[in-house]
Amino acid sequence: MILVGKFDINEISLLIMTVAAYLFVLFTPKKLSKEITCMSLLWGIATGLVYDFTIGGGLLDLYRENDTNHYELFDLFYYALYGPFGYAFMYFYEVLKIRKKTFAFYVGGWAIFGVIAQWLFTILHIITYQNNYSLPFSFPIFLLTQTITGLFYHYVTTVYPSERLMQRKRIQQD
Amino acid sequence: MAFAVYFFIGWLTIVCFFMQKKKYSVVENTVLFLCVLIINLNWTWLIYEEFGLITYSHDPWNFVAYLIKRSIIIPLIVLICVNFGSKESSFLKKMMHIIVSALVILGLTSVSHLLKVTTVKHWSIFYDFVYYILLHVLGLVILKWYQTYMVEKDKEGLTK
Repeated sequence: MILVGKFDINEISLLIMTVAAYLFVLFTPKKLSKEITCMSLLWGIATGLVYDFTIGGGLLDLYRENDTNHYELFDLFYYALYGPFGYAFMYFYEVLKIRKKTFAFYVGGWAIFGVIAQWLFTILHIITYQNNYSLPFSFPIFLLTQTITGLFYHYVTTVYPSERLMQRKRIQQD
Repeated sequence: MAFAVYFFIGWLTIVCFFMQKKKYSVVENTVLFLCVLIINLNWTWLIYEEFGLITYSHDPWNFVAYLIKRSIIIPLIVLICVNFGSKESSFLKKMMHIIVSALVILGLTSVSHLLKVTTVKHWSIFYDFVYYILLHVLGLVILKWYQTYMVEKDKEGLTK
């Protein structure tokens, strides 16, 4: 465990991107309730962490974050950066009024965006692939992740509130 | 062997959580699950990878068993514990639930040592017990904070 490796392009770009991403969360017109905003940020961070600590470390160790394979301060900035991605997914789901017919295009678009973002991270040395991993492998991972995220968000915002409403009505009738 | 055992326990915790009568909403439970998962991932990474106090097996199936315990079983058991009983449960009752839940996780940790999924180097099972208790307490604190500052009770929908 080290505090900071070499302070260069990856640390600087991480700082800029993380600040910009959280400014986006703060200053975009509010489309999501506070509870969903909080959940979306946590969803993004947790999803990123699960992948990083499962395929990005451990036995597979397919990629390295920042300068070393060990925990460092700027890894935290990298993990924090996942949060606004989770928020943006749910935010634009509402802004673009995604429904069943447009779901596949939306998720597919996000998977491509994810691959492009990861390519940018490799250029900026935030991520370095190892153990025969390469960028195209990320596409199915993003596709699966965004599909689960989309389905879960759909459940939380459509199925769950109407169930809750029905439950309240039943209680009132009783 | 270890993979089959932990796969079954993982499946069982998912089913138990699914069948359980929940005290909290789906969003509250999701937030709690994600918070516990984030804490547990970082904790295990520090203890296993950074400090090497415990090591995991390099057998792929045993490693998957370790992943199931770390990412599914532990957060879900905390969730089941927090949702257990009524909202008006006394502090003593809540603490009893937490201790029992921590002991269950501790039992599963011992099974993972027994099945050679994990190997203790410089660690005591007592530290694990303290960590599991704190994980539950932290979960309750996070939930309280979320309910106080994030949940808009008078709103019907979740979007604007």
